[in-house]
Amino acid sequence: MRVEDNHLEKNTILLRQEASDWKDAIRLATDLLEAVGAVTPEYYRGILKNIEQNGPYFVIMPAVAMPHAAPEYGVRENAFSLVTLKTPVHFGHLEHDPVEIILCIAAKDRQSLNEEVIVQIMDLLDFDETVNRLKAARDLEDVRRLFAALPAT
Amino acid sequence: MQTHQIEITNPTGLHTRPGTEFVRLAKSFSSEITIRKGDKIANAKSLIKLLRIGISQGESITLECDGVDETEAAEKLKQYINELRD
Repeated sequence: MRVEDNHLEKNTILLRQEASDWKDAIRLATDLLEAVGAVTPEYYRGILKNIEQNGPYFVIMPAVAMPHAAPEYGVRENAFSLVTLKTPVHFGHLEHDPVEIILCIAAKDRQSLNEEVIVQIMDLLDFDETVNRLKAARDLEDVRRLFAALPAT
Repeated sequence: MQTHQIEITNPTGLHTRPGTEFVRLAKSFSSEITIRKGDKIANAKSLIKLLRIGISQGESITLECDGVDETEAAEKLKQYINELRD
């Protein structure tokens, strides 16, 4: 599974959305995963519980959040969704707020979370142009061009 | 240079949350700090680079610390991984 195959085939991308707060932003991203059958509604609750317990540690770099919960919270298949926000929202992260890009990930088991899904997101984020190009993306074609420009791994 | 083999024993591996703490700790030392897993290699001061390797329970990694504070860095980082529980 390459990052572009997953996103583009399953249509789990929404660009330039409005979110009233961080919960709303996460909801947009988990709704996409629910719509393609990758997770059950339990997953959104799992993410909120994770934040309650551990804080917003998944805001992994400036402007980018990677919300996720453990596989037990209703994950049916490995997947991720991408939501970009017109107006950034605050997650309460001391260094990386405000967030404009939500990459919500889900994995069926811990090993594929660590070694497959997260690795693909990191391949995407390790490319210097990714954050600026996602912020600027207007349509799926912009995202497609970014994925095509990623260095081979 | 200090080189240590470390077994990952906690169930969730060196994923985002423990990885974030690990990188923060690594950054507190001036030594160059590198993690190897098989033929993959990462600068341990970058969360993105570290997570790109994908480190799970049951795997063995090599921690390399190179610099003036390498002994303390290796000791603290190794201890951090060994004390991970969840």
